[in-house]
Amino acid sequence: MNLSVAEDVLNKLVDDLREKFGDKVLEVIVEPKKIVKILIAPDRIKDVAQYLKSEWGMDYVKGVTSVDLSRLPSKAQDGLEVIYHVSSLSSDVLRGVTLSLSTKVSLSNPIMPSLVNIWKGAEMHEREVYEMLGVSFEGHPDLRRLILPEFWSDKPPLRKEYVVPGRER
Amino acid sequence: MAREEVKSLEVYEGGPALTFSMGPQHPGTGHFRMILTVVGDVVVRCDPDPGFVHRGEEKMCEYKTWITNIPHLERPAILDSAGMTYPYVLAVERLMGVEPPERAKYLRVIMAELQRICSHLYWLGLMGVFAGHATMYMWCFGDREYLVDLTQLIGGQRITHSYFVPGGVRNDAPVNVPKELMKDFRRYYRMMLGKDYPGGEVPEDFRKYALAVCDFFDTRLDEYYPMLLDSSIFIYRTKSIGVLKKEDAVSLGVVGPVLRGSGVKSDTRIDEPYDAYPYIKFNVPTMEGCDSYSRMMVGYYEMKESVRIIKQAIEQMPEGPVKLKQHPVTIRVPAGEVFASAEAARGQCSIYIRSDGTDRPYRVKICSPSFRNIIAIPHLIREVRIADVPIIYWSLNYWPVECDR
Amino acid sequence: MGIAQGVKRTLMPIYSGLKHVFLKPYTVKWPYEKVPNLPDEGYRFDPKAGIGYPGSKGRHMLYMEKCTGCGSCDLACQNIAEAITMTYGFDVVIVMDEKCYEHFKASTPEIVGALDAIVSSFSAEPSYIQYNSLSSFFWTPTDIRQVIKIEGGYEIKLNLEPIFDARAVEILYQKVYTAVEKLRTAGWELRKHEAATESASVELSKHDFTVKVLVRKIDMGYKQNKRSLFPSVDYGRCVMCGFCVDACPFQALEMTSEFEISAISRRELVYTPNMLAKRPEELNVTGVPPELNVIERTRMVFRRLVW
Repeated sequence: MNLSVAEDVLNKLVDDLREKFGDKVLEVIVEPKKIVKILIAPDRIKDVAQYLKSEWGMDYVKGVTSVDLSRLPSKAQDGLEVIYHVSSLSSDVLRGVTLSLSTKVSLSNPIMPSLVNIWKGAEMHEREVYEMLGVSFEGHPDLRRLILPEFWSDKPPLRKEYVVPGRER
Repeated sequence: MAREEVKSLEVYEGGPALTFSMGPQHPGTGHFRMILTVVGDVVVRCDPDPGFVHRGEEKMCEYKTWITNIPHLERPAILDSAGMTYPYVLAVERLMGVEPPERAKYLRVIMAELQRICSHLYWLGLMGVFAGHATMYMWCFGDREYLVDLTQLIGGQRITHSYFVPGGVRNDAPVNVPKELMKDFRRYYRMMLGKDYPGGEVPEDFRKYALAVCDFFDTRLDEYYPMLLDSSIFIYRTKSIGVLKKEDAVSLGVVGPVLRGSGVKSDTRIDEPYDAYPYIKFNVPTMEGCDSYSRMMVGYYEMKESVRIIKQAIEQMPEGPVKLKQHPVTIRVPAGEVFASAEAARGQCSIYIRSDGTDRPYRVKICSPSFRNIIAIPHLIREVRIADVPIIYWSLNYWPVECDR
Repeated sequence: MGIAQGVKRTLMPIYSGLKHVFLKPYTVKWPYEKVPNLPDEGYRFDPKAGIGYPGSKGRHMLYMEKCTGCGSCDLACQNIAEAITMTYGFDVVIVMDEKCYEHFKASTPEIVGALDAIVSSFSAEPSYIQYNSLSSFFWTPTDIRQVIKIEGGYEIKLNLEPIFDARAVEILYQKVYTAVEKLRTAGWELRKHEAATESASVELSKHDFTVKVLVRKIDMGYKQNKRSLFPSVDYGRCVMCGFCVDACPFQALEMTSEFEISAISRRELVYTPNMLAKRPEELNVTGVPPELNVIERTRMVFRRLVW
C-alpha cells in the first residue's frame, strides 16, 4: 500500500470524524509510518466505533491495548488509555492501514463501554485488558479472567503501581 | 462429520450434559486447557482456558533495555523466533527513524522465511500425528533438520538466534559450508530421493548450498502431497470439519493461515510491505473450503511460496554492510508511539510500543497471532464430535506459549 | 473421478512410503558418532567494525590475557539472564603463630581438633547454598601437611586451585563458618571478624592459642587486569544469545561450538574463568563403544566405511 495514498485517505477520515463528532475528538496523531491515533472522549467511543464500521468498513480488530499513564516522565496523568487497533479487510483503500482508536478512563474508576457488540473479535482482547489493567467494560458478554491464575489477588499486574517482587528499582 | 449431520442426531438431544477438562497436559503442543461440555460424544460448548504458560513478557519488557528485550521476546514462539522479534525490531527502527542496510533486509527475509518453513513443517508433522499418520511426522522432522542447519549457519543457534537487532542483523551469512555438512546432506539426499546428488558434489559456497537445500526441499514437498494431503485418511478426517465462514473469519479477527484458509486474501507482506518483500515476487495462497483441510493446504502452499522467496532473496541479495554502526547493547530511542506488524509463521504479529525517551520501553503490547486465533476455538468447537476436537484445534496452528506470552 | 480418485488416494500414500523401505537408513549413533552439522567456528564480535562473525553460539571462551575486568559482559547479561558474574580468585589459608605451631607439632589435642574441624568443614559440601551464589564447585585439596613459614608464623594452604567467587566473605560463610560455630561451642572465642569483598578472615582464640582463617585474593599477574577480576558463567541460566560477546570491547570473550554442557548438579554448571579459558576438547567420535556386541560393532565400522 502506497504510504502517500494512505495518508490522504487517513486525513480524509480524520476530517470526517472531526466534522461528525466535533469536540469529542480530543487528539489526533497521523504518522503513517508509526501510528495513526485518534483520541475520543469515552462517552462517544461507541458511536465513533459504530460509525467507523458502517461508513468506513473498519471491521477487523488487531488488538486492544491499555497503557497506564501515571508514570510518564513528560506529562504524567491520572488515567488509563485504552487503544483499539482496528483495520479493514473489506475496503481496499484502508487494507494496510491500522487505525488506533483510543480513549481515556480514570485510574480510580476505570469503566468504559464495551465494543464487543460492534467488533466481535475484541472479546478476548477486552478480557485480557480487564484482568491485566483492571478496566471494566460495560456490556461485555463474558467478562472473566483469561490468563491470570484464579488465586491472583494482587493489583492488576500491568499497572505501573504493581512492582514485580525482587525487581524494585 | 458436517455440522448439519451432527445436528440431525436426534438421539443426543436432551441427554445429560457432562463438563470436563481437555488438558492442560498437552492437548497438542503446550499447556492449554479446553473446558468441554458434551452430550454423548458431541461437544456442545467449549471454553478455552489459556494462561498455564504465562510469563509476563509485556511486564518484563518494561524492566529490560531496548536490545536486551530481544532474547526473551523470541521465547514465546521458539520455532518462529524471527517472526516474533521482527515486529519489535521494525517498531524500534521506526521510532528511531533509521533504515537497515539493503543486505540486512534480504538476510532478514531469508531468516524469517526459513523459520516459517520450519514452523509449518512442525505444524504439518504434528497434524500427521493427530490424524493417525506417523510417517508424516518423521518426514517433516527429517527434512526440517537441513533448514534448521541453514538458520544455524547464519544465526549460530538452532532455534533461538537473537539475530535481528534494530538497525540490521547481527552478523553476515557465512561464506562456506562445513565439509561435514555437505557430506551429510549428500547422504540424506541419497536416502530420501534414492539417487545421487546431481553433479556428484554438493556446492561448498553458502549461497549455492542454500539453493541446493531449497531445491531438495521443493522436491520433497511434492512428495508430501500424495503422502498426506491427498491421502484418503487425511481427507476423511479434515474435510468439512471446523468450518469457519469468510465473514466470521473477518469479524472474529483471526489471522494467518486460518484467515487465508477461509478465502480472505490478506497477508502483511503484501498489505503493508516491509524490508525486502516489495522487491520479491510471490503469491498469497488462499483456499475457499473454509475447513481444516483448507487451512492445512494453505500452510502447505505457503511453504512452497517461502521456498520461492528464499531463492529470489538469495539471488537478489546485494553485497555491503549488514548493520548500522551503533552501540551493540545500549541504545536510546526517542519518545513516541508506534504500531508495527510483520507476518510471523502463524499469522500477523503486531507490536505496539510506547517510548518515553529512556533506555527502556514504557509499554510494549504484543498482539501475537495465536492470541488472536484463540477466539476461533469456542466458535469452531461446537456441535462436533470429541474425536474432531484435536484436528480442529491443531488446524488453527495454535501455540499456547505464544498466546499466553 | 469417483472410484479412480478413491483408489489413487488410497494407493499413492502406500506407494510413496514403500519406496523408502529399500533405501539406506540414516540413524546416527550419538554420542558415539558425532552429529556432523555444526559450524566449527564460534560466534565472535569485532568491536571496531561493530559486526559479528557467523558461528555457533555454544559455550564461551575467555581470553584472560585480553580481559580487563571491566564488567561490560556482566552489565549486558544483567538484563537478559543474569548468568555472568565478575569473580576474583581466592586462596583459603590457616595462619598460626609460632607458639601455636609448636603445640601443633606436639599434637596438643585442642589445636589439632580445631584444625581438623576447619579442614573437614572446608572439604564438605556446604550445608546451605546462598541464593545466586557462585562459589566454584571444582577445587582440589592440597596436602595439608605442607606448612609454609611466613613472617611471624606459619600458614597452611587449603586449596590447590583458586576458588572463584564474587565476594570473599561468601567463601567464609559457606565453607568455614560451620566449623567456627562448632568451635565456639567447644570454648573457642571469636576474636576478630573481617568481611570484605576482596579479603575476609576469622580469628579464633582459646587460652593462649590464636588460629586465623584467611581468605585472600590471588593476584593473577595480568598487566591489563590489575584487580584480577574475571567473568564466571552460570550455564544453568545462560540463554546463549551472545550479547555478552557483543558487549566486550576487547574481544576477550568468544563463543565456541561446544554445546554438550551437562552436569549432575547445578553447581557444576558454574564455569569459572579458568575453565572458560580452556579450549573445549575436540568433539570427536568417541569410537566404537566396547559394551556393544560384535555384530553391532561390525555394523558401525562398516557404516562409517560406506559413508
